[in-house]
Order: sequence, then C-alpha cells, then structure tokens
Amino acid sequence: MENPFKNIIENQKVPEILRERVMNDVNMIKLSLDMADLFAVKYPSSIFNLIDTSSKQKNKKDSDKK
Amino acid sequence: MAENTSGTLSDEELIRKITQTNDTHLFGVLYDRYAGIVYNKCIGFMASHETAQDLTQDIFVKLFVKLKSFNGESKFSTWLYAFTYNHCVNYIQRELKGKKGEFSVNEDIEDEVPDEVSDQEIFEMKAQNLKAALALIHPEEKAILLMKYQDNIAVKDIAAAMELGESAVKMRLMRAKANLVKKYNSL
Repeated sequence: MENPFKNIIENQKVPEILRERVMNDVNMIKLSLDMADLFAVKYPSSIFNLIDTSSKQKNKKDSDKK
Repeated sequence: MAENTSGTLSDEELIRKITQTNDTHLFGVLYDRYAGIVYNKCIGFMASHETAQDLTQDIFVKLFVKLKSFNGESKFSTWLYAFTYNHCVNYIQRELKGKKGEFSVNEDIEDEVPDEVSDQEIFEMKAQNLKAALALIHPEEKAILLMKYQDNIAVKDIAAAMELGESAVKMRLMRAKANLVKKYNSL
C-alpha cells in the first residue's frame, strides 16, 4: 500500500544565497568563539605561565646565591 | 587536503572533526549534505518560502553552536530531523502565542487514551487531504507523525532524538494519529 506521507514531501531547490548567509553567520560565530578563547583561556594561561616561569627563575637565582 | 577527504567522511566522523576544530569549511560540507532536506522540511511547515529560508538559516546557525550536544545515541540524520521539527514547532508556537484554539489539542482531554488508529487507515488517506489535515493539527503532533511515517524513524530512535521515553512517544503518536483522522474526516 502506498504511503501518502511520501507523496507530500516537498522538493524545492535551496536558494544559493542561503549557503552564503549561513556561512557568513557561522564564520562570525567562529570568530567570536576564537576571540573568547583567546582572551578567556589562552591569554590568561600565557600570563600565568610567564609569571610562573619568572618566579621559578627568581627562586633558582636565589638558591644559587645561597 | 580536508576538501578532498571531507566529502567521503561519514556524518559522525564529520561531526567529530567539526566539534574538535570548529572548522567552518567542514561545516559547509555538512550544510551541503542536509540543506535540501532541512529546507524542504521547513517548507512543509511554513507556507512562505521566505520564512522557510529564514528558518533554515537559523537552524544551521544554531546547529553549528549545538553540534556538541549530539551524543550519537541516534543517527545524525534522525537527530537533525528532530532538531529541525523542534525549531519549526517552536517558531509556529511563538507566532501563534495568544491565539490558543488555533489547533485542535484539547488540554482537558489530553490525559485520555484515544482509540488506536491502524497504519492501514493512515495509508488509505489521499495525499492532498492528508496535507490539509496535517495543517490543522498541532505542529508537535504533525512533527511526530512526519518522523514516523515520512522519515520512517523507529519509535526508539524518535524517543532518543526527542529525549523522551518510548512509551511517551507511542502515546503521542497514538494521540496524533487519532487527531489526524478526526481532522481528515472533517474535511
């Protein structure tokens, strides 16, 4: 028996412009995520590492003097 | 390199790569695979092609953000169809807020168990009238019927995609079929 639900499936072509609109939005979101990652994760992490390295070097110098 | 191999990746592999890297080129591959299906599903819900285009755009943008929440419990296509229907249903409900009674869900009798409608009764429906009857029932009921009878998704997979129990899905299907038949017979 034929399934009438299969006969009501739409078969329209997706407008080309839609891909451009979606990819523009997605690229914008990716940029925002990358910026957030840079300032919220990578930048603080590199500052922390820098401070950590400097304090280790200072401690090493102090212990070498002794 | 990615361009050469990405076309042959399975959906699940492609999604894993997209979620790991947020690679928009790979997301473009996913878009190319499913844009037609999603767009036509939106047209099935919205009379206006312009609205269907806006909905398709919103769905894919939201998909890029929510892709990590795909847990692989169902096939990706099943999950995406549920995601699409859910977006369309929410849109229609927002649009019709304040116009309660537009659809035929009677909340007073929602707990009642309707009479079972056989699949044969559904398959005997005329396509044009079926389309008209689907437009008269609640969009949530329409969505679950489309998943079952148009997309041929098994009840357990509908349950996984909709994050519901199988018995809840069966009950919703039963109500949706009963309501569909009622509307169909009243045309």
